[in-house]
Amino acid sequence: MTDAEASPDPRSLLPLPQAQFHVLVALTAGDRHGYAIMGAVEESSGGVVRMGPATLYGTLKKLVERDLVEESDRRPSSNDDERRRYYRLTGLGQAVCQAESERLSTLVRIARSNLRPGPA
Amino acid sequence: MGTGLAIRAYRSLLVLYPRDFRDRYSDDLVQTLTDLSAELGPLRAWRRVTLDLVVTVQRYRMETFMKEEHASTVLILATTAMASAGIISLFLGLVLGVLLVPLAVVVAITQRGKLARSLDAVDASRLRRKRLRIAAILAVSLPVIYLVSLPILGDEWGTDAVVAFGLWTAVLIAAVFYFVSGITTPKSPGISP
Repeated sequence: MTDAEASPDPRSLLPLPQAQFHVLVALTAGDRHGYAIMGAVEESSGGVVRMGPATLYGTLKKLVERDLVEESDRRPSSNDDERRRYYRLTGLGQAVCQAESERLSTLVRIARSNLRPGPA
Repeated sequence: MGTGLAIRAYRSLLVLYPRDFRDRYSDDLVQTLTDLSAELGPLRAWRRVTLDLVVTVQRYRMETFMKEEHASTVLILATTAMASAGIISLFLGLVLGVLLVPLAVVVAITQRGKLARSLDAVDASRLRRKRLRIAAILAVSLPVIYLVSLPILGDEWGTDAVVAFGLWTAVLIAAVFYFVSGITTPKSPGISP
């Protein structure tokens, strides 16, 4: 069985829960450990989304189970704490993140169009 | 609160989470608390962690509870409770027992497949015999306990009588549990998990 046959259609996994999408977006920048993901989510949401540790790792657990994220052996620097676990997007995770981005951007486009002030 | 004490306190609170979650992520959770404390200060870190704990413990417990293998365990326990309550009701002369006992039997028979799927025994028929043997021993001990307690049973319910009735009830529940799990264990060898 090839990977293409084994992987589900990314659109079948949509819509993603907000926390899962935030984590996937944080990982598009590269491999990160849990605390770095937490910081990236807070930064990208302008401080609106503040994850607690268990929310973060519960979300990562679900993403790993759905094969969207995997643990990474690579370490950005050699002096990093070896106990930290790093995570990265899988191929399916990238495809799902892309599909969810497109879905949301379509939604935003419709919302902007409908909310645009009409002629007086 | 000192850092070491705070970490020990947080680690002990992690016992509230389902086992698979804490086995896998305890160290990461503690590490994150340490990082948060260093960045935000202990007070703000604990505020975030406590809120997170309150929200996620019940959610993750519920998610674990809803998984099929746990649902099967709950089904066995519920059937056992129903059958035991039915037998005790009959013993006490309550009509409820007439409804509960047949209902428990119907549930055990109709849900047999689901109950059996929770088993991961290598030799299922051996396990079945073992469970039914324990159920038989417990069932035989019921009248023995009753006869032994006869001298202390009177019109008034004293402590001795309450203890004897409690013991009898516990043995009854255990007997029904082993009987239900025994008859729902498949005769054929091993079901893979």
